Amino acid sequence: MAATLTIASDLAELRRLRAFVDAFCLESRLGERIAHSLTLVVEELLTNLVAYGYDPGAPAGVVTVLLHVEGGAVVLSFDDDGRPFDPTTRPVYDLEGSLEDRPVGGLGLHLIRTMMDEVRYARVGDRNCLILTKRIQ
Amino acid sequence: MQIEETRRGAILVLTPVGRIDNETGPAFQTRLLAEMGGGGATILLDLSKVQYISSAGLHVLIAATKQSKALNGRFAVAALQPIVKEIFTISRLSHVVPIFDDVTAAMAAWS
Repeated sequence: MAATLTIASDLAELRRLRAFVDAFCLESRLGERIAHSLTLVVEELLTNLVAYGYDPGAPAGVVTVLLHVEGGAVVLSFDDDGRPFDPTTRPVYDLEGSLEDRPVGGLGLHLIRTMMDEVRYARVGDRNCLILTKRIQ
Repeated sequence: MQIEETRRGAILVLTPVGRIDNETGPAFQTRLLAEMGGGGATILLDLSKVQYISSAGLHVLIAATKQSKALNGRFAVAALQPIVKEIFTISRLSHVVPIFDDVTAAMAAWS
């Protein structure tokens, strides 16, 4: 089973993105926990992209999201035309920091890395291609 | 986002309903910080009706905890749903935001 959605890099698309993930998880009978993880991950990805992916004032880019189930895992591919950004090489978020030390950013990326079993990145032409895998228990 | 409000003596219990995310987070943060006003406020966030929190929502709670500390107030969260609790655990938010099992436990600790 596979499904594709193309959206603009705009926070106004969050609802459509969530509905897409929900519908796929329901059809594929992935269960509430997997659905929650995937929803959170796509939301964090789009939010990050909108915040940091483009120059201020630049027109919205194009994001393609693909979901499919393969070999006991659900695979999410998130493909955007934002500036090059490899989340797999970002420093690990400091979880032990005190209240004052907690950085404002980085928590979303930490959630993505923790909730998914594997995150792979490639820059293909002028696009960021992220492939995230979560095992289905 | 709907926010239910109950006052129990000196403690203000706020019960947000639904999701705390990128969409609802900013208005929710404004409301929380406004309730802290000039300082000394005791605010308990009852999360029993929140089924979803993203990093934007977690940042609201971190900001509220910081503000409460700066204003010599008290701030905590209570009654986390399992999925929200998992996000708290993954983010180790319990290191920075006080968490109670339920509203009753918070009331007892603060009385």
